[in-house]
Amino acid sequence: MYTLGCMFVKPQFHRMSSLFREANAVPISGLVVTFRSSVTEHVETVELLRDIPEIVIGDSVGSKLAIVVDSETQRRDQEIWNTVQHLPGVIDLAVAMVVFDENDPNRK
Amino acid sequence: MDSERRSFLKSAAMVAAGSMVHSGASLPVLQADQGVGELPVLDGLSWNKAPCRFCGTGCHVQVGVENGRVVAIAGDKAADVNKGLLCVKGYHVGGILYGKDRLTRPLLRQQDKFVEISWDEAITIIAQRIFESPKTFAFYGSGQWTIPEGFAVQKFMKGGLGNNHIDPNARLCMASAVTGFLATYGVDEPAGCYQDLDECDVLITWGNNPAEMHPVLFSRVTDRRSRGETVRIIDIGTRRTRTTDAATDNLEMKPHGDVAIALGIMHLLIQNNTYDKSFVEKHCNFRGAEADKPTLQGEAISEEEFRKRIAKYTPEYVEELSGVAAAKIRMLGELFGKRDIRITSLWCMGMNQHTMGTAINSLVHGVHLLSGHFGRPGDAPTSLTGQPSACGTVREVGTLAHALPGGRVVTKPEHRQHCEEFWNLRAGSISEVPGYHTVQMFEQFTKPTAEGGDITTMFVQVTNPGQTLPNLNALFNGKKGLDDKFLIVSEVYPTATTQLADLILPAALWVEKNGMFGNSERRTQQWFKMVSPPGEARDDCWMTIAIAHKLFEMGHQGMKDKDGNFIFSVKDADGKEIPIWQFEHYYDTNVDRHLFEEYRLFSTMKHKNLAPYDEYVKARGLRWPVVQQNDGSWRETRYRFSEFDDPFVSKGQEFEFYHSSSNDGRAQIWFHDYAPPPEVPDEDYPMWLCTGRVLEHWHTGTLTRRLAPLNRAMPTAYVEMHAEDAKAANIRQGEKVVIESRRGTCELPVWIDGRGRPPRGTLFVPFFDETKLINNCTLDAHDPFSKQPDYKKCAVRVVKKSEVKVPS
Ligand code: SF4
Repeated sequence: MYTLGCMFVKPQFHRMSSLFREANAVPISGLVVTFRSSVTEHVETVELLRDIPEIVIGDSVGSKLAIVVDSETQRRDQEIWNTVQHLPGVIDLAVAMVVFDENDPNRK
Repeated sequence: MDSERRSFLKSAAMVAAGSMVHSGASLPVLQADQGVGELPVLDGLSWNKAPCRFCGTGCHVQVGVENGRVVAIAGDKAADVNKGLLCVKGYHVGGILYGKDRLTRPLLRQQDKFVEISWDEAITIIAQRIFESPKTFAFYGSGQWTIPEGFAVQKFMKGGLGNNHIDPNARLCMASAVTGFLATYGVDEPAGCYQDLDECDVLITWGNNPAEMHPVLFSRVTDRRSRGETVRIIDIGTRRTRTTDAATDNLEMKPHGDVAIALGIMHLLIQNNTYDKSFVEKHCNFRGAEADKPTLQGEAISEEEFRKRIAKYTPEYVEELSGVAAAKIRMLGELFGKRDIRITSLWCMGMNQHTMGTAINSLVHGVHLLSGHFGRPGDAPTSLTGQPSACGTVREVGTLAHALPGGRVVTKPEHRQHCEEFWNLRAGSISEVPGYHTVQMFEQFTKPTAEGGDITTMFVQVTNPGQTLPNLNALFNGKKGLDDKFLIVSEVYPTATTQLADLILPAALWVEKNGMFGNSERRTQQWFKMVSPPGEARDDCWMTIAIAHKLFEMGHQGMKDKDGNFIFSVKDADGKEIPIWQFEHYYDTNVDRHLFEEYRLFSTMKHKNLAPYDEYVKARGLRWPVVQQNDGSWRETRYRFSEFDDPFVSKGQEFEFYHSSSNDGRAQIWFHDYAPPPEVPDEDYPMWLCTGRVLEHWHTGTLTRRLAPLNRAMPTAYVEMHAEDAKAANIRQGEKVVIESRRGTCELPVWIDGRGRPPRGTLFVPFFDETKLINNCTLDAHDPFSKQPDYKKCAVRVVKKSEVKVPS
């Protein structure tokens, strides 16, 4: 990434005010998994989802299944996202809601 | 976060996901307040709507704000575009505000250093340079300008300075779509809307990868399939992509093959007598390019002449030109010949970044018109845009070198007169000479003044030409060492463009300011400022107004209207001027509302009617033309030119192209002969290079590269290469190679059988990575009408890094 820091007279950009907190927090996300056919035909994949401890399985209707992912680290969150996308029968993964500032050190 | 709050938010997330699941097959559009009602209600947490900051799909999000900071993002269930869903980029959009290296103070280059200066100093420096040489000043923006921002720059440049050197980077991404629409219908922008994706039986993606670039739109189609509906997806492209993976048919073509394929379909429709005679007879003319000096108007040709010209494009000849088997061309011809199915064509950069961009856009419209697959839900030729307001700000406000707001052009005296009247300016204020288009503008800026380079000061807002221009060494890096050239860049983060800036202005971003966007389906969207920008970052629109006022103070006559008032004067209820050029007073009023209400006056000439600002506050966007009903309500239009929905179509016409360039209510079916690409592989440069985007990053990555999860998912650009090509060159997976063209080089790791799979002899490189500038290699050859460069094909060679010859 480009940086102008080396060229500064005053290193203004290194100061972190309360508005400058990095957007690298761990999200809680509500996701909708879409399967190629009815969720009931993908029991094994649903079991694989259930085996991931950070995932809570919600309701399903037709080919859609609601899940919530709550992970400890961003890396883990990304891993889960990638894993779910590539599970057998999964054709789409969409986000309904995300809360992404949980590790904000300034939060009470 | 305490565990109680966390568990509350987890259940809120489950409610949000669960409600999407339960909303079932049709994902119904909800009333505005219902969407908000289901989001978590916590003390101090407030929710408000905004369109996503990224692509032209225009999904709406709900933005959760707590203690002056964006803390949550949810898909907006009340939004018709995305019905509550978001893609991976939209899901992270809140984080774009909080990268560690936000620009927060104006910075002036002094030799090799930047020094902090005050805003007053920065505005004065800019105003002085413009005052001294107003005609050698250029403004470069983008489809990321909000509608009021773009309108303010238009008024400042064309009305105030009498200078038409304003162009957007949308010139690089959708200018050929504009010229295609103008040539065909006499007026810009799609007739249909996203509902076409819900109703088509066949979806044809022409050089387009919506699975990655417009994922929420594409999921409307995959969603239908998952519910058991049959939608045939036909992917026509030069490489296999994620869209190909979902496609029923893949037609892999040679570069420029799309032109031949469109001509081949028209040939078959005529030859097999399966074209829609009644539609063509009632609603179409035939047109060809003039032999001497081709224009967008073209010349009328008879149906007989059209038949003669199209006769040679037999499936076999098209196979020769395009590389697509004749049988597959026949399959397309048969599909278009059927009346009982609905066909939607989608395209974006593949057809636009093309030296025959206007031609291929016109030809695909022609295929739909000739076959009558037009104007009914599901039957539509539809172009998509890459930027959130390429339509709203660039095409409608007209922030292009030749254009004026509301579909007007600077070369028409009556159009200049309209604008001068709306703006209360002296007659003759607006120049009749079109300004420089993007490539010319940067050529003139990077050419020494003594050699005729007559752009000396350039202001860049909301875009990153140091990464996106083609042939960067010539068009951007040439600025180095030219001491009398002055580059001003308003940005949120350091970029390739700020590297050469003389003055950097820290900008407010997305919900740090009020805004309005216009998406790919003519939908105008509005949002309010929700959080403060960091440090001294300020609104781009304020910058324009502050510079204009400084010029007004300096006595520049163009900054006064006919009555001697400041051209951006805003008065309070008592008639007292509000000093909006002072940032501390900028939000004393809603400047966006004032500018939009002024802009709205321009919108009726081309029947792109807009509703009052407050209607957009209530809605999740409205598709123009928006027309007031007898009961006082405002009604949007989903299908233009179709009597069942468009209020401007005369009764009994069924279809009417009321801005027809032949003035008879008809659209034009064009003939354009196939021509080869401007540069083709040869002995020295034996491979094709195609460039483009990836799912995780948005355009030059300035925003998405600062989002750790997205950056980790796609940390670097790469070159996609066919396994056989790699084997023949003894190149291993992941090995660093150098791509060389006649214009420059770029070093990249190789990805064999990666996400996209190019055929033998073709390479693909995404352009999001500022450490690997593939536009050093691309070509600045452009379409003759749209002036849009071709980023999709040029000749290159691949050299193993260990074998690169170091110049002695
Ligand atoms: S599809 Fe485009 S507008 Fe929608 S969430 Fe993704 S990036 Fe944003």
